[in-house]
Amino acid sequence: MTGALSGRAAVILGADAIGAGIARRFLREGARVAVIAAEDIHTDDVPGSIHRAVEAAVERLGALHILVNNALPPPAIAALEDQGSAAFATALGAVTAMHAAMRAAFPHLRASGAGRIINVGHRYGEGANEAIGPYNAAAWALIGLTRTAAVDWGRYQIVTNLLMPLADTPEYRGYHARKPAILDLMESQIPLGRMGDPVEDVGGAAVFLASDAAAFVNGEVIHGDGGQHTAGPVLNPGKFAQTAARQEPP
Amino acid sequence: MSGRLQGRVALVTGSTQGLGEGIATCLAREGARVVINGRSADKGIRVTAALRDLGADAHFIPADVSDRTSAQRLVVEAAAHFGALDILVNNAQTVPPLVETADPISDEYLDMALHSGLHASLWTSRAALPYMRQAGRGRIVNVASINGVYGSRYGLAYNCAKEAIRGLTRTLANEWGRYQITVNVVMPSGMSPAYEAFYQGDPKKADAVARQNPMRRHGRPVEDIGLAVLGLVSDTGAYITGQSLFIDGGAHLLGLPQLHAPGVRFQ
Repeated sequence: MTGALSGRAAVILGADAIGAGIARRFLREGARVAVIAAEDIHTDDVPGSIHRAVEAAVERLGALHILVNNALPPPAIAALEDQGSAAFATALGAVTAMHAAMRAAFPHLRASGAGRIINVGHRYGEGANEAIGPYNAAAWALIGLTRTAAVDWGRYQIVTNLLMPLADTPEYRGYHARKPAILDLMESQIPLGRMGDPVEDVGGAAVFLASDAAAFVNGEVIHGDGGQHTAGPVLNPGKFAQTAARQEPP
Repeated sequence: MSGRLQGRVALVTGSTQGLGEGIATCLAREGARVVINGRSADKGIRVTAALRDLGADAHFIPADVSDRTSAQRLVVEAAAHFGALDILVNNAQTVPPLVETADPISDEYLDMALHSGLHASLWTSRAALPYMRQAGRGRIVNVASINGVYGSRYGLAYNCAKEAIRGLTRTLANEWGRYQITVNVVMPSGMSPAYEAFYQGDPKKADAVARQNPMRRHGRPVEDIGLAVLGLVSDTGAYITGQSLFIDGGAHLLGLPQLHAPGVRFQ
C-alpha cells in the first residue's frame, strides 16, 4: 500500500511534540522529511538562518512539496497593562519567522505544481483568552498570514491552510498533573472524549492538508481537535501558571 | 487500488450525478463498497455501472430522502445489502427556484428545501446511528454551501436549509462523538449540473468566476471535492469533527458576488 504522501518532500519548522508527531506520520505516509529545530535558527538573523535551513533541506530532499510551520512560542503570561513590547516582539517575531520559511519555500512549492503550506495555529487565534495578549495577537496574525498566502499563491496551485491541534503533549501532561479535576472535565467535553495523539490524530489531520485531499482546500482553518472547537472553552495557561507559582514558591 | 477504505461500507445520498457522483467515485476507488442513491433509476443505474467498471462493489437504491419513511428505508436497505454501514454522506438536496423572499411562494420552497436537505440528513443520520455504534466508529459528512454562509439573495429556502445543516452537524458531533462517530460539513464549489444550469448560456460569467477564484479555476467533482471528502472519512479524519470545511480554492475569503436573479431554476 503506497502512502498518501508517497514521493513528496516536506520541511517542518518546529520540533516540539506536535512537529515530531507530524514528522513521524509524514514518514509513515511515504514522504521524505526534514525538520528545522529552534537550535538551527540564529536569533541575530532569523530570516537568513531560516532561508539557509530551508535551502539545505531542499538540497538534501531533492524537492519540496510541503511546508509545515509549527513555531508559535509558549505564551508570555501577564495582564495586558503589564505586557511590554519585548513580549509582543517575541510572539509576532515567530509569525515573521514563519513568513520567512514560506518565502524560502515558495519557489520550490511553486515548481512542484501542487504545493502545500500548513501553519499550526491555536484557538486563541479565533477567540481570545485572558492574560496572553502577545500570544492572542500572534495567533490572529498567523491566520492573516495564512489567508494572504491562500489568495496570493493559490494561482500557483499552492494551498495554504491553518491547523488548530489539540494533543496529548508533555506540556499538557504537566498541566494535567497540576489540575487533574479541571482537565478531566475538559476532556469529558471533547466530543470524541479523548486527547489527540500527535501521530495518529494531529498527524492524520496534517496528512489531510498535505495530501491530494486538499487540492482545492485553501485558506481554511482545520481543527484537529476532536471537535473541541464546537464544544468547550480553551485552556488558559495563565491560570495554570498562577496555580503552579503558588504550589512552587521561588 | 490503494484501498484506504477497504472493507468499509458507504452510502452517498443524491449520488446519481455531479458532486455526489464524484464523492461516491472517490470512496469506491479506495475500496469502499458504495450504495448509490437518487430518485432517477436511469441515472442511478448508469453511475452504478460506471463504478463497477472501476472494479468497485456498488449498489443502487432509489429513494426520495425528503420522505421520512423512504429515508429510513434507504439506510436500512443499504446496511442490509452490504452487512454494515460505516460512512454516510448526506449530499441530496432539492434546489428550489430562486425567488424574491417577499413572494409568499418562498414558504413552499422553504418546506421543499428543508425536507430534502435538513430533515433528510437528520433522518438518514439517525437511522445510521445503530450501525455505526455497533461498528464502534462512523463517519458522517453533510453538505452545506457558501450561499448559506453569505445569504445570497433570492435563495432563502436553500440558504436556510444549508445553514440549518451546519447546526445539525455540530449538534451531532457533540452528541455522537462518544461513539467515535465524526460529523463534519463541507461547503463545496465544483462543476455540477446545478452549477452548469446556473451559468447556462453565459460561459463568460463562468470564466469570470473562475478567474476571481484564488486558484484561478473551478472545482472538479472527483479530484477536488471527492478527494477532500475522502480525507474526512478515511483515517486522516480520525480527530476532525464538528468542522465546517470550504472546498472552494479559497473563494470564500473574497466574499460571494451576488449574481443570483429571481426566476432561475436549477433542475
